[in-house]
Amino acid sequence: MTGFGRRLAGKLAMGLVMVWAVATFTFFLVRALPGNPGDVQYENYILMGMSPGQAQARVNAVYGFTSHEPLPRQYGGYLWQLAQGNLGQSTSYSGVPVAHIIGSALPWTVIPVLSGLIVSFLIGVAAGVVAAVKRSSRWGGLLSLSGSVVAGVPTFVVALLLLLVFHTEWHLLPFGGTSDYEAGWNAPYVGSVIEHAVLPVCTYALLSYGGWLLAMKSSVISVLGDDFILAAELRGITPVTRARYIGRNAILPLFTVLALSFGLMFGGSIFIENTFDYPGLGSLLLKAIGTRDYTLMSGAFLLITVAVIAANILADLCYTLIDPRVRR
Amino acid sequence: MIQARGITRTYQTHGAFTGAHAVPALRGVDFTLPDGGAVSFIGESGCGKTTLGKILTGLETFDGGELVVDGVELSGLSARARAKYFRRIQMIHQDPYSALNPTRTVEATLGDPLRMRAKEIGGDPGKWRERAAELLTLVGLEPAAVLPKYPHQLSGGQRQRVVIARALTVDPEVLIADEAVSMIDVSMRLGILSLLRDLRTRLGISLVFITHDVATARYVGDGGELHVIYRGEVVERGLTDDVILTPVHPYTQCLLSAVPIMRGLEEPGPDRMAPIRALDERTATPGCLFEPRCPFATQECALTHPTLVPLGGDGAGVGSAAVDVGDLGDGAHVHACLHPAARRVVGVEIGAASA
Repeated sequence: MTGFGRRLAGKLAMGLVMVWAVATFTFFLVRALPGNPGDVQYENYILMGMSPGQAQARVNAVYGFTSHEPLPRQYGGYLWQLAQGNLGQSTSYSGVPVAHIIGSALPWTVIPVLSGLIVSFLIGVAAGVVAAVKRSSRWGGLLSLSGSVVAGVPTFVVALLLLLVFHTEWHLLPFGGTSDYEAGWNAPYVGSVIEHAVLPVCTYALLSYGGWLLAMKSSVISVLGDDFILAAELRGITPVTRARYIGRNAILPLFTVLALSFGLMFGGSIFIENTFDYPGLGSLLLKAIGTRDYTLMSGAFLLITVAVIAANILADLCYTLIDPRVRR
Repeated sequence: MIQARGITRTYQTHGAFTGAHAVPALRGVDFTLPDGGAVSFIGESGCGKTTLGKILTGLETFDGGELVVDGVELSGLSARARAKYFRRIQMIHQDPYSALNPTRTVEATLGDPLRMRAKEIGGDPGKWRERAAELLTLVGLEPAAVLPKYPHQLSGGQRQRVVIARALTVDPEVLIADEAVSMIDVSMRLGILSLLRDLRTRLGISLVFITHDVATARYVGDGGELHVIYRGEVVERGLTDDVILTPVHPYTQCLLSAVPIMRGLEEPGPDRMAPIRALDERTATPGCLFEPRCPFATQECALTHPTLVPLGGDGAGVGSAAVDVGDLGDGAHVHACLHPAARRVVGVEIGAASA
């Protein structure tokens, strides 16, 4: 177990370095944008009638760094604030800390993305096994075709189609927001939250279903031809044991993809949340871009980075648990 | 005892544009494997050796001929009844890296079939641990060191020993070794080969040894028959040493010519030769299959298909198709060539030649 602890510590240190790299990158990216946002904001405050001193103080408070100081010192100040968990203040939400805004949007992205991913993973992997084993029959062919077709349709088309059918035409599911009721642990609220989440979750699931199916199919086919499966057939094992051998070995490479797609789903959330008017991180990011709210943007980017890095660390650790070849 | 009579297998390919196309993998193979005996098959890639191994283990079906196990004709049985016979024939695969489930320890790999076998024969399934240790010792591994390990923690030679131990879990009577040492380090090969020979003498397990390597066939198949297969057909057969030391079919002679010699200690046989053309499997001919590549082919060879005939000292056997080679005793040296001639192609020891 000490080996596992050392591995974990190593991964965490590596993750921290990556977060630092991304934070640095976003910091300099914001600085390099045409019309330094700090300066633009400073000019705005001056135009609003503030004195230069007041305006400078406001900008300092909002961006977390002093825009007229030399670059290295600004960078140091930004990192210092970041280390304390201070992401600065939003400009469009007048003075609300960015960490607070992101914190309230986060669950509305993480929960649908995660449930969509899990649903599509389970269904896609199961369908992939069937498609591989029955690949020469008509049903296997149809399954594979369904995977290719679904994987080929763009996200926004899927989202709009679902919306059209289930909301506009059949009036089965609601649209917009996360719930029709005040927040609280009661049945109508929770029910409404689930109703509102169904369409985004389905879109996430459809988005990645085809990928899982095709990846699992090819993985299973390659394991099917392995000598140890043939040898097991010679010894006369039961079909259930055979399926277990195949599944266990075929699913291994898919775990890496699972972690990577967690990050990709965050990217997809921009389209999906926008289409369903769902107030998650994606629509927050889109709004921030629209209002040139740079602190909110860099905060959101940073959070997405951290989430992806964390997912990868988790996947790496899971890998050592499920694949004996990775263990040392 | 296993007897194969005229086993044929033809694969149908369905090209999208080229249309259906029949590829004969085996064109009628006969052999007899006595209990505790050994039969070797040598031939180049694609000659049907592996298909034969798969048919013998039931992984592949045959579409002509008959396979007889202990006097029972297998083609007459249902798939379920046949499976019982095939269980007694286990296979050692070529690649020890893919022959073991990478997610299971040696303990789990041996444990499952051992418990299954114990239930089958009414033994005590709880005793599988002792049996596993016994089998590992038998194949020359240290049970305590190997049992908790995963395949990737073992060397190629150790893996192949585990594969052999696993095959032995179901108490087989026949082992099919399909190129069983071709992917193992040369330094480990001899150990595996002598293990296979050992199993023959100590447990009476008979061996079908499929290889392209003449030297290993000679080592393992000592005292058994050697069959030389060319394009799915046996072209020469006899006791292993007879065929290797006095080959009469030009194809066998080409194969043996390709065996590397130990330079400085041996010199190439004076009649060493090579096929005059590369293998083209699409050529269909009414004559000898080897005729297009044979350095000694005559016009007759292109027209008449030779059948296996016993080797006559003066070539008297040639063309006497009336002799049924099946009636000949085991170990008779037979060949399918219209113009057999003994040639010296294997390496000759330098000292012996000059002395």
